[in-house]
Amino acid sequence: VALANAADAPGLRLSKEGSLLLRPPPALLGGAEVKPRLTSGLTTTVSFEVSLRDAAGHSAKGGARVDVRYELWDEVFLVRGVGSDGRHFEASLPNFERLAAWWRELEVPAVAARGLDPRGPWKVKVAARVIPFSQSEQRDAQRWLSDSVRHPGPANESGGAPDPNASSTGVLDLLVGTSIQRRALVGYDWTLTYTPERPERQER
Amino acid sequence: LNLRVTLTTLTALAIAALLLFHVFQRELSGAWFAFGVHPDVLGQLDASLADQKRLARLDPPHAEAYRRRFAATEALLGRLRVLEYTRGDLVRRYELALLGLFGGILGLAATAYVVRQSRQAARLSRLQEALGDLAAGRPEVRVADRRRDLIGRIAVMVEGASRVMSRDRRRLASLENLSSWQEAARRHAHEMRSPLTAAQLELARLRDLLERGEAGESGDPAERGERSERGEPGRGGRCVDAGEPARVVASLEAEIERLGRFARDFTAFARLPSPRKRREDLGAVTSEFVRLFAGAWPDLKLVWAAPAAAWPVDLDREMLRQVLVNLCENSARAIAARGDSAGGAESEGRSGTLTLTLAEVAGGVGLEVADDGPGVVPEIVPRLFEPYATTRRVGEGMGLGLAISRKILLDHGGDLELVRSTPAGATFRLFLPRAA
Repeated sequence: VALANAADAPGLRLSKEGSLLLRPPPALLGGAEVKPRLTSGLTTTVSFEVSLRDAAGHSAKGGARVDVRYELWDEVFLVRGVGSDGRHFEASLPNFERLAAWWRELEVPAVAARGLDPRGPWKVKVAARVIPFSQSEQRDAQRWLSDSVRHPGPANESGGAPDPNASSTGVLDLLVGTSIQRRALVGYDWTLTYTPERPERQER
Repeated sequence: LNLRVTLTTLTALAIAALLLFHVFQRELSGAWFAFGVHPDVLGQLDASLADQKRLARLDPPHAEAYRRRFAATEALLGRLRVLEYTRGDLVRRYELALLGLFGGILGLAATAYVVRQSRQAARLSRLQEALGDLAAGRPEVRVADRRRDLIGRIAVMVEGASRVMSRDRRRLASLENLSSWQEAARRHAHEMRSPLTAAQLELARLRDLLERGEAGESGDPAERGERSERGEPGRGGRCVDAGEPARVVASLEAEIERLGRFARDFTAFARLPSPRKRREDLGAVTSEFVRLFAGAWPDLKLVWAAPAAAWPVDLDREMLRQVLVNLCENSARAIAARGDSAGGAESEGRSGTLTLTLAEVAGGVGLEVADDGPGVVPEIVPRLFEPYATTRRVGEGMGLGLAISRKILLDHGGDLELVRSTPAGATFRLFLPRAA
């Protein structure tokens, strides 16, 4: 997992509701490894895990997720996300530039800071992972590969979609199941100090 | 089990298999996955998606069909892209699974090989023990290995050889036993026949004396007068000496005594008492023997250097003395026989020396008795301690002395053995366990 530059660190802000809002680094989607994947037709998931700890040792954990999928037929980016408060959000963006602009403006609740010393300072650990396909796409590929190897006949009418009722047991399934994993394409870890009382020096 | 050969073989096998795996399977598995996610395939699918979109625009009535086909192609492309992304992991897992399978097979093969080798080694060990038993002369050796391989066949051969050897040994023992009995019977017969013959002759003489005496006293007076006038002797052909009957009776008594001694010898051998052991100093006992028996054999000089330290052993003093007497007696006889064979003129050949020495031996004490006689006749050495084993002429001894002596020492928990025998002398060792 590479450690990003300090300049690319995520932004932090404490909301009125007491949630720590996370602003993802703008460069996260524009990297050479991530950007080509965004238009693959698969769902690219950007997940954030955030943990807080104040000077007294109180801690809190939370996270957020943003799924980006390029709709090949309509040629638009569909973005769906969910914050630590459970609220979902979504957007449809016609091109990458609009997506990048939307991304720059994004603030997502990452962790509820209840129980922590409101004066700070807080030690904030942020882990970001970019996963190139979703869980359903993973399961679909696993099932399809298993069935294709076990029954190497012509694809069915739906273009090779596997039979969901087909039995999937044995060594092959174990092999496929343990191999096709949602390994992160890239990942970043930041350790920051955040002090809520000083808005002008919120980020370090 | 040759561990070095086994390890070398297994290592070579593993290396060869790994090499084969690397060369063939790695390439095959990599190629297999590479075909599925080849850039051309993905590119064609991308192009197909674009075509279907275009067709849907150009042919609106069938737009829905193109859309379905587009969705199917898109799904396939998505799966292939997932595979493309996880191909490295998949190939590695696949290879790991194969490697694990191969390692398992290799491990099982190695285990089977080692187990087999161990069993073979155990069987060879049993075979070796059986051969040892066979060499030691144990009867009816059994190997209990009925497999039909080489070791099994050798085991059967060993058992067969053992059976043959046991049968031959039994036959030999029977023959030896028979031969011993024949020798014993011959000696017994001769030992008894000599005094019986002598006694028979003496009895005949006595009867003759009695008859003549009767004729002289109660015969026809006229005939007695005529013989007397003619100066002829009585019926015996000569005049009866007044002391002759007494001499004959004495001779008869001597022969009967000889028979009695013969019977006593046997009784002594047959009823050898158990030793009444006491804690004794073997050096002191030997010194006493040498002192008491120094003049018992005129032509045998006893040499003994009494040790300073005590040599404690548990023994029956009288029985040990009997053993020493037997050995001295044998030496004296052998030395005398040598002198006789030398013509009797050389006085040096008729005399000898018998040296007694105490020595520490493993587990006990050894009293060595060495003479400078002619040594033991080689032919008799293998059965020297058996009864009737003697080179003496019949009538000069039964050959029981050494047998009795060894029995005495065995009863003491020790042994009597011939250490060496050369034309320059023989050495016997009396072994006695050291007192606890």
